Amino acid sequence: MKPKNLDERSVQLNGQVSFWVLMLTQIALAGWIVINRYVLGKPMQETGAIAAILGFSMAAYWGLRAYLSGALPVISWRRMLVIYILVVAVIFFATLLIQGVPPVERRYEMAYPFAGVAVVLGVYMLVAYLGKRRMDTLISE
Amino acid sequence: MDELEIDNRVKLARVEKGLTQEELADLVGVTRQTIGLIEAGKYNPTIKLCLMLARATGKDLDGLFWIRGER
Repeated sequence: MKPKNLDERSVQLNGQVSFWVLMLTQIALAGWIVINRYVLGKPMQETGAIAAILGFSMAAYWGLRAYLSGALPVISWRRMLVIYILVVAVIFFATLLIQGVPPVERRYEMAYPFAGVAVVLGVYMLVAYLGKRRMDTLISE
Repeated sequence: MDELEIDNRVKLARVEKGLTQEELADLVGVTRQTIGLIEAGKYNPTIKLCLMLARATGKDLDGLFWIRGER
């Protein structure tokens, strides 16, 4: 009986072409943002939507890749806490050194490193855990 | 580390079986171009396709594909 599977070389090619076109699209969008912001001097509001799309595209692409590969190491809570403290400390003090203490009405900005690093590491842990769980399920089936 | 090179005898097996590239491609569910590239050693098929090629040509897997230098 004739197999019904799609030519595997075509599947590979689809993946390669998709990858390169996506990378080129992301680079083009990043270039557009940089030119508009820093060469043409347009305000952030005009590039915000494209930056959000680019951010979503990059996060979704790498997040999905990491999830589907199941290759991200799952880090223990204790180790993650140490990483969090170290990264926050580096960003916090580096920002403080470079920009100084912000005025009272913008003091809330000092919380950005705490929240930002928590979100990034939280997403990392979630993707690593879910990817590992998916892989364990696939292997044990 | 050097990249592993795979040699194969797909063309010989196909001719012995009296099949054209098109017919073998139809039997295993790929395109004629894929068969051509495999025969030319320019595309490494998955183990699934290797097994299907072995079945379609009536050969053993290790009689059809091997690591270069090991035979």
